[in-house]
Amino acid sequence: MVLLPSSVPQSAAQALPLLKTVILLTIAGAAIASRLFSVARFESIIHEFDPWFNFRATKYLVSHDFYSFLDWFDDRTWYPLGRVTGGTLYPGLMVTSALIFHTLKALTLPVDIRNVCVMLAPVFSGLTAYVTYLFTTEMKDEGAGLLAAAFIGIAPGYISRSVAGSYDNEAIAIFLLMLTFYLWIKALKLGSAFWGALTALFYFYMVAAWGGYVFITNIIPLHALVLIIMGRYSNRLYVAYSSWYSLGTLASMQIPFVGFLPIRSSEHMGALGVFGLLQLVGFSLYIRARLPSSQFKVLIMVATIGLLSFGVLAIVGLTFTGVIAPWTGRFYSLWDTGYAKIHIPIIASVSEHQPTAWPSFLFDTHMLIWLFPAGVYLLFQKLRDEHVFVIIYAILGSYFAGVMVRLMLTLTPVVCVCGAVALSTIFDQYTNLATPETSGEDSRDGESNKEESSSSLLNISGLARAPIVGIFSPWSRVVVMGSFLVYLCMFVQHCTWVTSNAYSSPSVVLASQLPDGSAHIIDDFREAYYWLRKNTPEDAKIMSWWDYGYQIGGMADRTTLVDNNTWNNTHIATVGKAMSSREEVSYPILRKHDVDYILVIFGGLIGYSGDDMNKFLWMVRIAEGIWPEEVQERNFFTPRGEYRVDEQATPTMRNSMMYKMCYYRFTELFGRQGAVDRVRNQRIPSPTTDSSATPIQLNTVEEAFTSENWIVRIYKVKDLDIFGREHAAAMAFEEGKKRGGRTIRAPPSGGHGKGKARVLRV
Amino acid sequence: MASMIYKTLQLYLLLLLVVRSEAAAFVPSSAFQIQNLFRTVDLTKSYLRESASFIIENISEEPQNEYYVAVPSEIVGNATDSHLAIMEVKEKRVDPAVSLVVEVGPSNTDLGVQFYKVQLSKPLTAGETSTIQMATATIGALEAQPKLIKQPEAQNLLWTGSKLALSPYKVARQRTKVKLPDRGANAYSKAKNDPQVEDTTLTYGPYVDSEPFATETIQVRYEYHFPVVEITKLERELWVSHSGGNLATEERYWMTNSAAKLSEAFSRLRWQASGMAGERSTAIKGFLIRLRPGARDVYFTDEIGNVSTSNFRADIRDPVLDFRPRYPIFGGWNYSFTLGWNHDLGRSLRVLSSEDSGSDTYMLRVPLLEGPDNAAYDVAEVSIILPEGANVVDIFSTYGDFTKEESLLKSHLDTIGRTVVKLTLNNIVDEHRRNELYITYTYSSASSLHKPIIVSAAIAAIFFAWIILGRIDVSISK
Repeated sequence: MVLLPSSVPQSAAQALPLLKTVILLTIAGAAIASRLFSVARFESIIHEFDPWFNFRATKYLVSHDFYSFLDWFDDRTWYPLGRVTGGTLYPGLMVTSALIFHTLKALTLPVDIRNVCVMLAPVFSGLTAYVTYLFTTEMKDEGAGLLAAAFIGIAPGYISRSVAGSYDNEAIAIFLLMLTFYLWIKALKLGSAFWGALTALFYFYMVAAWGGYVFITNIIPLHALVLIIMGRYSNRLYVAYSSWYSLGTLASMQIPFVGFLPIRSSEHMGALGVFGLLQLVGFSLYIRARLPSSQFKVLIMVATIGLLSFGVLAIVGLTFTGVIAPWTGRFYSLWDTGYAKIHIPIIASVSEHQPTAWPSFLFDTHMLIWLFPAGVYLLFQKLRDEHVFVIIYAILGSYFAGVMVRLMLTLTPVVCVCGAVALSTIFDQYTNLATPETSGEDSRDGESNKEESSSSLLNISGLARAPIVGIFSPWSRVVVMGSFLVYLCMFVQHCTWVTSNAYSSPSVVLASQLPDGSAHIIDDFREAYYWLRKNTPEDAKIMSWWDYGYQIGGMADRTTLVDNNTWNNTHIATVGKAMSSREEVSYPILRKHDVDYILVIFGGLIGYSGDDMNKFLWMVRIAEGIWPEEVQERNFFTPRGEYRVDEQATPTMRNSMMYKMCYYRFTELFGRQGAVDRVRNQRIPSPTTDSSATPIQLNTVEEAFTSENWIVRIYKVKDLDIFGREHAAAMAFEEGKKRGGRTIRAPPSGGHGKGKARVLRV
Repeated sequence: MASMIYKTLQLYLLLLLVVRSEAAAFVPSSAFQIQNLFRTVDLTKSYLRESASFIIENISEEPQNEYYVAVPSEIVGNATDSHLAIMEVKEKRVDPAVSLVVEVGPSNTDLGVQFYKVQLSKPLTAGETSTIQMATATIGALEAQPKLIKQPEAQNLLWTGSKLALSPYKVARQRTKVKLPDRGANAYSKAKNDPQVEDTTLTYGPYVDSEPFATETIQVRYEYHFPVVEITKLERELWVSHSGGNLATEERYWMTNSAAKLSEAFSRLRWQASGMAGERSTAIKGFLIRLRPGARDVYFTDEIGNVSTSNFRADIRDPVLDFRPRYPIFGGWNYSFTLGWNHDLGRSLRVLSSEDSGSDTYMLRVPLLEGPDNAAYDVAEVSIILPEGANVVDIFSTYGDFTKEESLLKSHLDTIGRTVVKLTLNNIVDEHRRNELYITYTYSSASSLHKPIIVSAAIAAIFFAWIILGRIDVSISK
C-alpha cells in the first residue's frame, strides 16, 4: 500500500487519488459500522446519562429559536433552584445536530431528531478518520496517514465515547481537536494568516463543543514556547500563533459559558503569556536588525528581567486579588490524584474520574500502545516543527490518561498517529522490493526521479555513494511482514471484540439471557420512567440520586431535585441526607422540597450491581460533608467494619430511608427459603423464616410503582395527616382498626414529635 | 378588539336562542305506531351496545318516507363523558336488508331528546308495515361501582337505563333483554315477575301500549373483571407509494383505562402473584391485533423508544401483533404508543382505467380501522397520504359519518407535495373495523418521473457549480 508509487506504472499512479478516496471511504464506512452494534442489538436509543441531557437540550433547541435556547432557564431541574441551562452548557453539540436536522427537514426528509442524535457520533468518527489522515500525512506521508485513519477509526479508546447513541460532547470534540491540530500544523508550516484564522475558527467550534478545549488552549502555546526555546522562532510561527490566538480568544469569549474566562482564569494564562512572549521575541529580533550587538545585549538583559518580573508579579497579584480565578477543583485533581477524594467527593464518586489501571491502556489501544513509543522515537529522529508538536501531545496525553480514565480519549488520537508512523516506517523498510544488485539500473532511476515521492526509494538511488543499509533478505522480510500482518488482524479482532462487549451497552436497556439461551431484554428503567411520564401530574417533583436526574428529565419528563450536572454540592448533600436518615428526619426535608415521588434503583432481585444500595455510601459521605453531626459514615458499618444489609446491619442502616425503600416487602417475594439479595449475597431478615425479624414499615411514603424486575421502585410521599398526627401514629391507628380494635400502641417517637410537626406547618 | 368579540358573541347567542326556541318545540308527527319492539342491551363489552328490532306501521293517511329515532341528548356529542357511537339503521322490507341514510335531526330540550331522521328505502303507504333494525353503542355509559377497588378485587359495573325503549311513537308491545358477561348480575331492579332471569340474561317485559317518550329507569350491576379500554385519540396514517409498491401504515394511540381505579398504590408483588395464579384483572396487559395477511416490517414504539415487551408473530397468512405495554395499565392510568407495518400495495390497489395520456385512475381499498378488540375511540383521524401528483376523485366509506379535509404534505424530497386526505371520525368502536374505505384517484406516469428528474437535476447543478467554482482563481497575488 505504502510503496505503490515506486512499483506501479504511470497510468496506475494516476489512479492513486481514486484508490486513496476509496480507501478513506472504506475506513469511514468501517468506523461508522463498527459503532452500530448497539443499534443492531438493541435499537436506536440514547445511551447512559449525560447524553439524555444533551438530547433533551437538542429537542429544546429544535422546538425553540437559538436565542431562547441561549437564554434557557430550566425550572424542571434542581428544584427549587432551577438551572441557567443556556449559560452553563457547551452548545456546540446541540447546534450541530439541530443544523443537520433542519437541513434534512428543508430537504423534506422525514427524520426523527432522536436518530440524528444517535447517529451523530458515528458519522463524526468517520470525519475524524479523515482528519487524522490529513494530520498524519503532514507528519510523514500519505501511507502513514491512511494507517492512522484506519487505526483511529476502530481504536476502542475512541469508540468507547462515540458509539451510536453515545450523544455526548466528545462525539464531535475529537474530530474538532484533530482538525484544529491539523490546521495549526498547516498554519505553522505555511506561516499563513488564512490557515491561522481557520485554526481559530475550528478552535471556536471546539470551545463551543467541549470543556476539553482547554487542552488545545494549553498545548498550542506550549508548542510555540518549546519552539522558541529550541531557537526555532520564525515569522511563520509568529503569524500562525498571533492570528490563532487573537481571533480564537475573541471568538471563544462569545460562548456564554466561557465568557471572560480566557482573560480571567489561570488555565488560559499560558496562552496569553506565550502571545506576549512572541511579541517580545519578534520585537527584539526587529530591534537587533537595527542596533549594534553590544547595545542590543544590554537592552535585551534589562528588558527581559524587567518584563519577566513584571509579568509574574502581575499574574500573581491578579490571582490573589481575585481578578484571575485560581485553578478549579477538576484541574487540581489532574495534578494530585488524591485531591478529589479528600475535598470533592462528588468528583471522586464518578468512576470515570478514577486513575487509569494499566491494563486499560492495552484494552483501549491494543498493539498501538507498544508501537506508540517507537513512533515517538522516529519523530525525534527527524524533529521538524510539527514533530515537536506530536511529541508534546504524546507526553501530555500520556500523563493525563494516567490520571483519569476518561482522558484515555485524548490520548488515543496521538497513539494512533505515532503507531501509524512507526508501522508505516517498518512497512517502508520491509516492503521495499528493490535490492542493491538491481538498483543501479538507469531505467529504474529515471522512473524514481519522476515519482520523487518515496523517500525510501531515494535512499536506494543514493546507494552508489552511501554504504548499503537495508533489509534485503527475503526471509526477514517475510517473517517481519507476516508477523505484523498477524498483529494487524489481531488488532482488528480485538477492537471489534472490545466494542461489541464493553462499549455497546446503552445501560438504559440491559441485555440478559433466558435459561434456554435466548436473548432477553430487561427494560425496567424505561418502564418506570414511562409510567412516571404518563401517570403523574406534569409538575410532579421526583427525588432520586443525581445519577438518574438526566434520565428522569429526558424519559419521564418530570422535575428533578438533582441531576448529573452536580453544580450544587449542598443540594446533592440534602438529597443524600434525606436518603440516609430516618423517616422522621427525612420527611420534613421532603416536604420542604415539595417532593411528590422518590425513585430508588434496587438490583437485589436480579443482581443488577449498579444500584442505589451500592452507591449508598457515596450519598452518606456527601451528606456527611455538609452535616457531619447528623450523618456519619461509620454508623452504616458494622462494628467489624463491614457493609452489611442482612441481620447484622446496624440500626442506622436499617432505619435509613434508602434501606427501607429498597427492601420494602422484598422478603414477601420469597417463601420459606428466605430472601437473598443477589447483588450483595446477603440474607435479608424475613419474618417468615425468622421470628425476631419485623417487616419493614414505611409511614411517610407509600409504594407507588415497582418495575417488573424490581429495579426501579417509586414511592409517593404522603401528604400531611389530616388530623395533624405523626404518620407513624396514624399508621398504627389504622393498623389497629383493621385488626379489629386491638389496643393501639404507637411506636416510640423519640422526642422529636411535636417540634418537627411544628416545623412542617411553617 | 374586545368590543368586537363581545358583539360577535352577542350575535352568536342571539342566533343560538332563535335556533333553540325553534328546536325546543319539535315533536315528530305521530304517523307511525310500533307494533312489536325487541331491544337487547348488551353489557358483555367494555362499552354499552344496544340493538333493537321493531315493526313500524304507518297509521296516518299519507304515505311516509321519513322516520324519526330519538336518543337521550346527554349522550350525543362530546360535551359529556359518555357519547353515542353507532347509528346504524337497516330496513328489512327489501331483500337483502339495506342500510338507511341517517341524518342528525332537530333536538327537543324540553324532553331532553335528540332526533335522528331516517330516510326509508321507499315510501311506506298508509297501513303498510316494515321491519327496522337499529344498533347503537355508547361510550362511557357504564360506570364502575365502587369507583375504587383493591388490586385483586373484582370490578363491578353499573348500567343505568330505561326498561322501555325511547321512542317518539307509541309502542304496542315491547321487551328488553339485558345480556351480561359470564358471571351474571349481582344486583338489578326488580318488580313482580319482572325480569325473567336466565344464566346471563335478564328479560324485562313484555310491556303493552307505552306512550311516546315514556321511560322507566332500571339499574343493573354486574361483575366485569376486564379492562375498559378507551382510546382517547387515534392517528392513523396510510402512506401510498407507487414507486416502492408499498402501503405503509402507522397508527398512534393515546389510551386510557376507564375501569375502576386502584384504592391503594400498585403493588408489583400482588400483581406477580395474581399473574401466576392466572386471575382476571381490570388492568390492560396487552392485546392481540390481527393484521391483514402479508403485513411485514412491524414496529411498536412509544415516546421513549421500542416497546421491548411486545412481539410480532410473522405468519404470512395470519400475522399477529402481540402488543404489550411497558407496564400493566390499571384503571385511570394512561399509555400512548405507535404501531406501524408495511403491506404490498398490489393487495389493496386496483387500476380502474388507463388512458393514453398516461393518467391512470386507481382505487385503493383499505380497512377504516385495524386495532385492538373491545375498545372505544373518542376521536380517530384517518389520513391517506397519496403519492406526489395524485388527485383525489372520490372517497367512499361504508361508515358514512366523517368529516373530510384535504391538504398537502411535503416529505421524502417532495417539491409539489403529496395530497393528504384526512378523515375525522368521532365516537367509534372496535366493531367499525369491518367498515372499509375506498378512495379513487388519478395518478400519471409523468408524475412518477417528476421526483427522479428534480433530484438528478439538483445533483447535476451542484456538480457543475463545483466544477465552475473550482476553476475560478480567487488568489490576490500570483
